[in-house]
Amino acid sequence: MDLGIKGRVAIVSGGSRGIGREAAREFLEAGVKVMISSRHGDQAAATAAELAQQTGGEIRATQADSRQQADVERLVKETVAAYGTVDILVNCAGEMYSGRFEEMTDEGLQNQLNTKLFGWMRAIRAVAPIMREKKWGRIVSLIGGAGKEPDPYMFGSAITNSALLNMTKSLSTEFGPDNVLVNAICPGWVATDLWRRNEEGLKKDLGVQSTEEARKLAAKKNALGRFGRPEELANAIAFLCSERASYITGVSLNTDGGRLKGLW
Amino acid sequence: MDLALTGRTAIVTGGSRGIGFAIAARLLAEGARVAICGRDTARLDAAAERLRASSGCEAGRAGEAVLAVAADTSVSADRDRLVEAALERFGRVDILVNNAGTHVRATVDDMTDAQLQGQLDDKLFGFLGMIRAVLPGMRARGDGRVVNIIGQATRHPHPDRLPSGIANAAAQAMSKALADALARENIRINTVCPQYIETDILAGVIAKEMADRNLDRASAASGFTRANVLGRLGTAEEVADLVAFLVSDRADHVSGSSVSIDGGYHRHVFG
Repeated sequence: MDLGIKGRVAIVSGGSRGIGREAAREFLEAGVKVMISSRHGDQAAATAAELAQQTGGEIRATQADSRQQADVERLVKETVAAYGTVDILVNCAGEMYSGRFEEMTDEGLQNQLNTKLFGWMRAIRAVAPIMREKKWGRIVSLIGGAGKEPDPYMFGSAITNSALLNMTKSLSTEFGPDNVLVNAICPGWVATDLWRRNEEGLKKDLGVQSTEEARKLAAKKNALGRFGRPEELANAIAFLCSERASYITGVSLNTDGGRLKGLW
Repeated sequence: MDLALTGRTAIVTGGSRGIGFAIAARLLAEGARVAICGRDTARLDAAAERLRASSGCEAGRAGEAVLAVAADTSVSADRDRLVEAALERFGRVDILVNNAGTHVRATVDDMTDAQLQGQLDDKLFGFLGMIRAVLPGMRARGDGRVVNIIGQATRHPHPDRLPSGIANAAAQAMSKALADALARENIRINTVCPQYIETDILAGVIAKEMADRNLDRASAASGFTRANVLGRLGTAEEVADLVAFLVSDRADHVSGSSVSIDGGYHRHVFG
C-alpha cells in the first residue's frame, strides 16, 4: 500500500530507541524526511546515522528534552531550517512512571506531566500553526493503555495518559477543520529498553523472582499472549500518519494484542 | 508499506457496492484473491466484472482472483454455500470482512420487532455465522483476520436509528468477546466503525432530503458534513485503506480493537 507521504517531513520525539526509532525507520522507508530527538543527543545522532545507512533515507537528529520549552522550540526550528516545513509529529518522548499509590510522589507525577502532557503539548503548539496553514498535518501520540484501563502499578502513568487522551480528542476537534488529524496509539507491553528498565519493579510487584516469569505474567494480560514488537507499533504510527488515514481523527487505536478488555 | 497480502484469500460480504466493493478492490490491488457476495445477482455480477477489470487486478489472474456468490448472509444455508464456494475456488479463507447489512432508521414509536430482528439477523447472527463458518480453517492454520464493519451508531446511538443502534452495539460486544476468545489461536478480530461515508445509502438519504425539503445538494448534505470536525463526507476508499491495514501482517498486534472512521464525529474520549 502506497502511504502517499513521500517527501513529507516528520518529527519523532524519543526517536533514538524503541518504538520511536522504528517509527523513524518506517517513515524513511516511505520516503519521509525525518528529524528525531532525544534527551541524549549522542544517542539520537548514532541512531540517525544507523538508520540513514540502513535505509538510504534523509534523517537528522537533535538533542531535546520535552520538559524544556526552549528545547522543543529549537527542535521545530531546526526541522524547518533543514527541511522547510513539518507535516507529521510523533510524540514518543518519555518514560513510564511506574509504582503504586503509596510509592508515587508529587514530584514524580509532576515530572511525568511535564515530560508528556506539557512536553507534548509544547511540541504540538510549535508545529500546529505550520500544519494548519498548509491544511495538512498528522499528529500521533503514543499513550499507554493504562490511560483507558488503569493498572494500580502504573498509577502515575495512568493519570498522565488519561489526560493525554483527553488532550488528543480536544485537539482533534480544534484542528479538524484545517485537515490536521490528531490521533493516539495505545500500546500495551512492548519489548523495548523501557520494559527492561521497569523489569525489576515489575518483578517485585508481580511477586516473582525471574525475568522470565515476569515477562510471562505481563504477556498473559493481553489476549494474544505475547509482547508487542516495536515495529508493530511503528506500523500503526506510519499508517495513521499516512494519506491512507485521511478520514480518521480523534481516535485512540489500541495496538496492544487485546490487552484492554473494555469495548471502547 | 508492504501489507504482505499477496496470495492471501478473502471473503468480503456485501461486496457488490459501497464500502464492501471498495474493500474488495483494495484487497485485490494488494494481491489477494477475493470472494464477494450480495443479494442482488445482477449488481453482484456487474461488481465482479468491474473488479476483474480494475487496475489492481492483473489480467493474468482476473478470472481466478475474483469470485462472486449470490448470498444473503442473514441466511445460514447461504453463508455455508458462500464459504464452501470460496474454499473450493481458493482452498482457504485467510480474511473475512463482515460488511453486509443496511442501515435501518426507526424510533421507539414506529420501530417494529421485524425491523429489529432483520438488523440482528444481518449484523449479529450474520456476522457471527460467517465467523463460525470460516473458523475451522483459520484454527487449523493458526492464522485468521476478521474485520467487522459496524456503523458508528454502535458508539453513538440516536433515537431515530433504534434498529441499527441496538444491532450494532450487539455486534460490537460479540466482536470483542470473540476477539478475546480466539486471540491465543492467532485469530485477530477488530471492528471498523464508519460514519458519514459517501455511499449509495447516504446518497439516498441526501437525495430524499433534497426532494423533501427542496434543497440543493450541499445544503442537504450539510447536516452530515457539519456534524464531523473534518467538515466533509468520507469515501469508501478511505474505509477500505483502514480495513486493508487491519487485516494485514502490519497489524499483527492489533486485536480486539475498534477503530472509528468518522471524520472526528464521535466525541467520547476513549474510542
